[in-house]
Amino acid sequence: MMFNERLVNLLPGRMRNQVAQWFEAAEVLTEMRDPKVLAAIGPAGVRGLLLQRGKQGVPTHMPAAHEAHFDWRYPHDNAEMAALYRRAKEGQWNGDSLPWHTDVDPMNPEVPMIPADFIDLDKLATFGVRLDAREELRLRYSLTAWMLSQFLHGEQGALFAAAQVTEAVQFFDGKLYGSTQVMDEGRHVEVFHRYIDTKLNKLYQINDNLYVVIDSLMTDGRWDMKFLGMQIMVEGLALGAFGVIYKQTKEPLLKELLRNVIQDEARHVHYGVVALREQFRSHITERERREREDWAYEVALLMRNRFMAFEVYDEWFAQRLSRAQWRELVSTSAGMSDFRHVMFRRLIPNLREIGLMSPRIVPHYERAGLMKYFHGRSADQLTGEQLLADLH
Amino acid sequence: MLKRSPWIERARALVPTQWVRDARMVLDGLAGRSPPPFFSTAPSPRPAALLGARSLRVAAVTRETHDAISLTLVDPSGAPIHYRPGQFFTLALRLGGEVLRRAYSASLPMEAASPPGSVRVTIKRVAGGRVSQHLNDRAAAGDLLDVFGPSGSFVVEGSPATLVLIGGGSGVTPLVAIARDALARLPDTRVFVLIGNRSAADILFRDELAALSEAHPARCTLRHVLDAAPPDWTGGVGRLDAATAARELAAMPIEGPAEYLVCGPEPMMDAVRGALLARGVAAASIREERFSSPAAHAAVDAGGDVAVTVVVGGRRYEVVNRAHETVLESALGQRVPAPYSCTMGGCGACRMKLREGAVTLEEPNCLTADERSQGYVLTCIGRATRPSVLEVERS
Repeated sequence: MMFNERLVNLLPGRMRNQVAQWFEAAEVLTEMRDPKVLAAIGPAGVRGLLLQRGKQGVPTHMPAAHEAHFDWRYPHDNAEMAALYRRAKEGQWNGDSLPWHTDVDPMNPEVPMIPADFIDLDKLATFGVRLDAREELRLRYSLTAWMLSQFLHGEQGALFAAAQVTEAVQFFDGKLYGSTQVMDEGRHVEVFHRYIDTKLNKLYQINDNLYVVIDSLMTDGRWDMKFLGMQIMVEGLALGAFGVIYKQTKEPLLKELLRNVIQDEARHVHYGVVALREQFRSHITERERREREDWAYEVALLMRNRFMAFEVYDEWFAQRLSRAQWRELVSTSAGMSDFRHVMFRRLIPNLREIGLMSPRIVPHYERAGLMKYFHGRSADQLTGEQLLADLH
Repeated sequence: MLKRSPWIERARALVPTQWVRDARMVLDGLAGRSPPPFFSTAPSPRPAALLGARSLRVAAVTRETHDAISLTLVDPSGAPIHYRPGQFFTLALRLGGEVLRRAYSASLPMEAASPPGSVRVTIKRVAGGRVSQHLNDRAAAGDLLDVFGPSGSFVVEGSPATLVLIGGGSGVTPLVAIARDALARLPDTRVFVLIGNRSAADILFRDELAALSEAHPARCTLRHVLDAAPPDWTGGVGRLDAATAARELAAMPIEGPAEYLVCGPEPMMDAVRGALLARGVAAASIREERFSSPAAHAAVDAGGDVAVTVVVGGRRYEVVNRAHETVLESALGQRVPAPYSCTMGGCGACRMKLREGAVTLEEPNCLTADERSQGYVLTCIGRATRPSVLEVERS
């Protein structure tokens, strides 16, 4: 790491950031100890981190290799999924019914989109960057637009993944439920896009690490990996992120939008837990289970360590701070800590519930400081209302 | 000079475009050119709800002439209103316990709408017209109106070399939007505008049209004709009939193939069509938008039950076209699988061929003059006035 930094500092200025970025990418990949996990994430890592496929300014094509599972007998094969399907049908809502007439001014200090301490400005000052009151509001505007843009990109991934999973899953009740999730994700894309499009007018490019996760699970042919990636990891991340913003924003339209979205997401994670619990406990070999356990751990770390708003850095501080300084700033600021806290509070109990927290991996989570979340409630024991109540 | 080997070109053709983009990304990164972190987004088109009315708020009422106003309408949700220049909106007003629907064209293209996302429709007072009189007398900022649309296919497709816009009275409304749009968006298109009115005081958008032609002197030719001209008038004189239209068009330097868009009252439209055909203009190059009088609407609304035979997929259905119902409403109510989509004359999905009898249509609608002459009708806005036979043509 030290060697890398010294090497990077020898380069001409404009090349420096790019090479630092590649070293970070190499670091992500070389830290993966299980060759199978590396084989599963590696190609997506190259496409996302090195080639930046998500930022090339053209639509991205991702080949998919999963099998569609047809069943001409239409069995009632999973009561819990059937119950989720019934609940999902009743929980449908219309994106047009949100209070879109609300006047949203991201620069209004009276109605802050996110709190002032979301980024630690004192720490920023110690790096020699001082912002005046207006710049600070603009930075908060940028961070809000960045987060909502990533939510939107994540929802696009979720929409296509939900469609793939609906094809691939072997439970017929799961397929019916899955169709409601496809609808849910479509609605989420609709409302987040409408918010960005008509209220913020600023759409950030997809974060490279989010791209890697989406690419990796879209191109993986194994349905349970898609489930694990989308229903547990990405939806878990989404719940964490939505929860933090829901709790902190004073903007009424955004709050109402997130309140509705969170209720849907709670069903999605629950579905993932129900489907994978049985699969991982009784339908795969121990070796396959371990591979999934390691994969989940690596993706959890990727999300904890790398989801760092570098697109905002590029816009604001590329000439003023090093990437390492920005990373330190973001990872120690109150907003991002809160975000990680809520995310892992949801994620870890779910991993436990589906059987991906065996004693062999626990020490690793311990070292990463994540075991404090182990005894929380998993998604199958939580309703959307409880999730919201938890956030207050 | 070094000539590039065709082999290099061929080899390049074999490399997938994706690899070329990937390589460019890496090289750009090394050169310090990173991709833009974000895009500023303008609100993007959102499909309008075609089947239901939406409630739009009157943001401003502008008096255009002594007998015409413009309403600036906005969606209270903040969503922008999307439409193409030349399209119309249908306002549904409840007056005296009756819902009256009237179509009014947008008089500005979307890009010029102020505030952005709004639509400006223009309403000329019609003698005896209940809706136009009500709006001219009573419309006020803050009113909510039920609005259908946009609808209609009176729009410019592609980029024609020459556009000739001919309007009478309030027929100028869609034309002024089309002219502004074409001059702003189609740099190679020449625009000729010929507008007829009774008197100078009746001319709608006189200043707007003058400003357009002054801003684009080489591409825009503007000519007004008046029935009754004041002494200092420099434009044409005379009612815009076949003879006046022929004379005025002959005086315009129209060269090569042109597209003609005509909009106005019925007699003027017929006269202009005759003049154009006499000049050798192909019927296919003439597009028309009919602004009907309220009397025509009344004809659709009134009348008793009429027997209609509807042929769908070769099968004959006997339908009673009830009073106050369109043919489509009656057919669907009597379980005939008649095709339809927008239900307001804007899409053409419900088109049928009239084999016998007579059907009156609400105007304007999206039927072309050719379709009309071949006997097509739109069942969603049509009413049989005597026993008729209608058939869905098999594609």
